[in-house]
Amino acid sequence: MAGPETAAGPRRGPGPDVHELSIANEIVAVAERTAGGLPVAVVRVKVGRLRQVVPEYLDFYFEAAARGTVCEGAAMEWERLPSLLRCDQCATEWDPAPAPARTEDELLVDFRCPGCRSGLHSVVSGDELLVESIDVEDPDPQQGRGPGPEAGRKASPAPGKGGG
Amino acid sequence: MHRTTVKVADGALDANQTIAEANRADFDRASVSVVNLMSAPGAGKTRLLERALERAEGNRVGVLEGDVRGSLDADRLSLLHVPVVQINTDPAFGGECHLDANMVRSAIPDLPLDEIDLLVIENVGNLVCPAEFRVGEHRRWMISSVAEGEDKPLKYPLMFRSCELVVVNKIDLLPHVDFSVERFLANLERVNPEAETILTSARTGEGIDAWRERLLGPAAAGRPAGASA
Repeated sequence: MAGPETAAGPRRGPGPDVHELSIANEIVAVAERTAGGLPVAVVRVKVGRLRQVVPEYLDFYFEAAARGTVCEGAAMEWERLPSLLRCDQCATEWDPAPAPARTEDELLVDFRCPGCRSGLHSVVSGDELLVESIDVEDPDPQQGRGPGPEAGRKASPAPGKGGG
Repeated sequence: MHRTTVKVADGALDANQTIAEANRADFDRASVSVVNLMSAPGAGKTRLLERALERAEGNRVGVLEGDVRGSLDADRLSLLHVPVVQINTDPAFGGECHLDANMVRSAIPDLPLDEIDLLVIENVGNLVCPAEFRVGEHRRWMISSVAEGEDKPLKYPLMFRSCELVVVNKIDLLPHVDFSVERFLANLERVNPEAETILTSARTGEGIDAWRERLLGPAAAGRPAGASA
């Protein structure tokens, strides 16, 4: 197989905490559905802080997952969204996982309401794992060979604990 | 060459979620309640299932066994005369470290849904990926063994947050490991205040009755995973 296959890690496969590869495969699939066969130059992704996804790893595995697809060579731009919960009982809003400090502090989360100590909450922000937009290279925009039928499809929220 | 930006705003896992919902609809039509059982490798998923199912009189239970390779676990469970279907993620899916909705979908035709009321999906041992991929389950449970350490809820919050029951297994090892049940429960409380817990030792049998009743008893028919406690 041509290319630095080993340098970039396995094309697919299990390993310690490399589930970013599985996620990267899903992101490539979403971009492919949207691109309508056109080459993709940029994929923009939003990752909430409550997701167990390290965007830096996602970058790395995106390159591997994109190989042989319309996303090959595309840049991935990611944005981290803050975590914010709202208490179902008293409507207090709080961040259960303040900014990572790369120390043990990073692990100090609290999903119980600081106001009334209720354990029931809704996620306002932080559960996102979204493909926000893509840039496609259109050789002739007048031809109307635009992005596929999936483009502009109604977004649905990423699965997560959210309501239960 | 002209560059166009196309708005997508799709969840990266929407495709998986759509298939998971189709699976769930199939399970609902057959009136089969589905538990997605997850843990790190070696926490005791298969052993705890054996302990529960060796006295499963009158319960119609099936198991969907997910492993990267081989059928060692499925072979063990078959001895208990319950229907077991094996999914290997290795040959067809490149050795994925979790089951996704499509893999479960492909196994549904092999499952005797008319003959069972409860399906346990034993996921691939992993605390990371299975937390992300719903497969059509009603309930998400996990097993955490004391040998893994008391800090795991803080290190794998997505997994611990997404489960309504955490079985703390291998408590017979407590005298030999640096694991405080109290500190583990406090850590769990930080990430999932509503989680239910059962302490078990599949080896000595301690807590096994409670585990079996939770899995097979009246309470096992419980509320769906989507509902709040």
